[in-house]
Amino acid sequence: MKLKRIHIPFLCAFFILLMLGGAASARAVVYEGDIEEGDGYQLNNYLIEITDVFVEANTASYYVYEREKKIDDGLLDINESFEFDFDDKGEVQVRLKSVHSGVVPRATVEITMSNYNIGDLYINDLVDGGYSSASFAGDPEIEITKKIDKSEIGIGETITVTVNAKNIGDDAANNVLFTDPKQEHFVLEKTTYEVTGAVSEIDVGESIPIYIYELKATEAGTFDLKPVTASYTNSASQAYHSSSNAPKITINEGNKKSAQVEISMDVDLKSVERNGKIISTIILRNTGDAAAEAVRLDITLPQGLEYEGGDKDIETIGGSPRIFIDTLQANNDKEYSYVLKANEVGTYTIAGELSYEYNNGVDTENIKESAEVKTSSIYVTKGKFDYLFEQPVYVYVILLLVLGAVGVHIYRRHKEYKY
Amino acid sequence: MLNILVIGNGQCGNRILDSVNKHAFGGGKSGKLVKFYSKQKFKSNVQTIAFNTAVNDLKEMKFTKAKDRVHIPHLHGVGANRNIGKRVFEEKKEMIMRQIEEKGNFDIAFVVTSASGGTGSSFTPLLVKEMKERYDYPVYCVVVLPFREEGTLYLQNAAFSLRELRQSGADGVILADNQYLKNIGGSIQEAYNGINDMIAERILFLLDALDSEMMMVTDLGDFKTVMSGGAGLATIGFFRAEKETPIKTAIQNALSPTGLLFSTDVYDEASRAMVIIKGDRKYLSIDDISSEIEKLSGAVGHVFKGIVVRNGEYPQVLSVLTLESAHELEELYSVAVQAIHHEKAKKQRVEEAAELDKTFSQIEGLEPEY
Ligand SMILES: Nc1nc2c(ncn2[C@@H]2O[C@H](COP(=O)(O)OP(=O)(O)OP(=O)(O)O)[C@@H](O)[C@H]2O)c(=O)[nH]1
Ligand SMILES: [Mg+2]
Repeated sequence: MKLKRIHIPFLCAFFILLMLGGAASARAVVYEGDIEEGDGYQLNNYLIEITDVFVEANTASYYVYEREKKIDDGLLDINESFEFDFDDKGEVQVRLKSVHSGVVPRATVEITMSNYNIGDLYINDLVDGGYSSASFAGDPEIEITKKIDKSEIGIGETITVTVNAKNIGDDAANNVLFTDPKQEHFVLEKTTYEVTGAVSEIDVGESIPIYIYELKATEAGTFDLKPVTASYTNSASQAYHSSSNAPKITINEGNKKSAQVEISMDVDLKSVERNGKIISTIILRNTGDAAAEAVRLDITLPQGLEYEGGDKDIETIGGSPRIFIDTLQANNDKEYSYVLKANEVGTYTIAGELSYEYNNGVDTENIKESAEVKTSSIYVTKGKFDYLFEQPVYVYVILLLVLGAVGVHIYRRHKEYKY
Repeated sequence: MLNILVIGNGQCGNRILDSVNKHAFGGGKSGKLVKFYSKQKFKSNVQTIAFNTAVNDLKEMKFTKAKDRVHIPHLHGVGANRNIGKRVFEEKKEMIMRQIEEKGNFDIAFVVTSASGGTGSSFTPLLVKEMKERYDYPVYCVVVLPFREEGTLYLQNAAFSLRELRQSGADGVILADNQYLKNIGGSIQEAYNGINDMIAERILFLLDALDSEMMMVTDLGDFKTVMSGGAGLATIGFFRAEKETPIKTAIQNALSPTGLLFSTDVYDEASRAMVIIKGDRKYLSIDDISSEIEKLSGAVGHVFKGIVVRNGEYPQVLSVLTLESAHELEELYSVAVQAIHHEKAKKQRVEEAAELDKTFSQIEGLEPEY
């Protein structure tokens, strides 16, 4: 058992090596054929140029360019090969198979690649005339700058966002498509300028405006504006992406306006005799900095109190008074009073339901507020003659009988003495 | 309990009767409405009847039951003419007597009237005569004498009616004199009301006393005895103390001119007397009473005295005095005689005028012959 344990790591290592070996040895033939003297073979931005073919010597000399830069040169014998690095990881191997004489001497080569997916090659072809005739696609790089005119504003205020794009790459950018994601916490107030659709080409060094617009802040906080992204291709139709900076902005609470309607609801008497009158005074005061609209106070009267009348601005709906004010300007107040009649003995409070709305100067929609108020307790005590009504029925019956008897008696006496 | 009948004849009699009924409801200050809430406080069974030929006089009454007011219909009233009054009475006698009959049986009756009017003064003697024939209870008259300035007709009426009353069989005539009492009040109406209240108060006091348990003596029998003395004429004196008053003073006041209904010098003219004293025991000093009564009886003759004890009441004294002579009445008669002569002379002149007519009438039916 001990033996077996020692073998397992070895076994694993073996398989890994085997796999790597398999991959490394997975060479793909890109080209097998002739390259005339002075011609080249281009693999993307790499160009292999056969500069001279020496038939008698069975050799051929070569240059390797990565774009305009020569990165390798040498002289190959038949069946001899050289390698150069391709992009990051790839490797290209060029082997000379034979040389041939003719009007223009030529070399037969085999070009293989490893560690690279041949399908990704966008140029894989002979170049007649070699380096001098080759064209290489560059890397465009669109640098997007998102600028804001202010970095700290209040809610409801606006910033101007300017987005510019500059190709700081070495190749023209084609079909540049910009995307500016919708910005949370802001509303788009106004668009001054906007590129429409894709920009067909931005040359190297060229700078263009992309967007100019105004954003209105709706929420307090510190936010990063979302970056503008661009997608584009180079002349070789290779796709590129870039994104802008994300400017930071601080939005302050301060500037939202609000209406604040304060209400006081009082009664002139804490205690009143039944059938007495109570005067209730209501003061509505807007202590906010925005006008209150549709201010409405619904007063709920308890059973024992009855509305008798009041200021003409007080309407009654089903016996309950209501006050409605279209607009109560900031720092304004209004006073109302009305008279109540105490119908029944008891302890009461008068309840009021206040509602109003206002515009905070930021949001388009009005903000609705509501509040509830209550008066202090009102004690309705017995009226002067109330005890009369508190007697049990028989008392009334007796009273009526007595009154009746008195009536009859008086009538009788009247008749007795009426001559 | 005594059964007492009180009749008021004519306007004056009606009014005094109404005042009696009013006072029976309690106190003289009682308003018109007293009859609705109060009850008459007669001790006895008191029945009242008002007779009159003038329906308006009956309507004026306030405290007398409607069924007790009897209208004796006669076309134009009697207009102070006693002869018409007498004729009306004779015509309606049965109807009048039936009213009395219906009231039941009585122990004593009072008939109140003026002496000088038409109805009351002519009805009363005939009524009394009729009652005396039918019933055996005593009948006393309360007679109001006229103001002297009221005219010859009234004076003449008073003279004749008083004589007729004495002849009617009345057991006594109690006099009240408007002339003597007239200084009481402002307007004539107020004076009448004041006099009526005085008379009513005395009658009620008397009725109450007659039916009360009394210390000493006096009962209906004694009253009869007193009233039968003298010339059949009597009057009443009264005093009600409004504060603590010695009983002697109270008695003296009840016998003095201020307390009497008719002008007389008690110690000189009275023949019999009854003195009823009422009040809280603490005022009723027997010695004081006796000494005061003795003073009276020394001058008068017999004096009946009765004492009614009423807790908490100030002294009240009623005196009933029969007169053997009445100087004031003589005066009245002498004026009345002049009045009668005057009337007679007037009538003569009218008759002479009629004589003249006769003279002219001689040629009636004749034509001058030429
Ligand atoms: N004390 C007193 N005297 C009255 C009252 N009314 C009338 N007299 C007097 O009575 C006399 C008139 O008699 P009346 O009773 O009015 O007459 P009568 O009996 O109704 O008779 P006629 O009216 O003539 O049919 C007058 O002397 C009045 O002064 C009264 O209320 N009180
Ligand atoms: Mg008369």
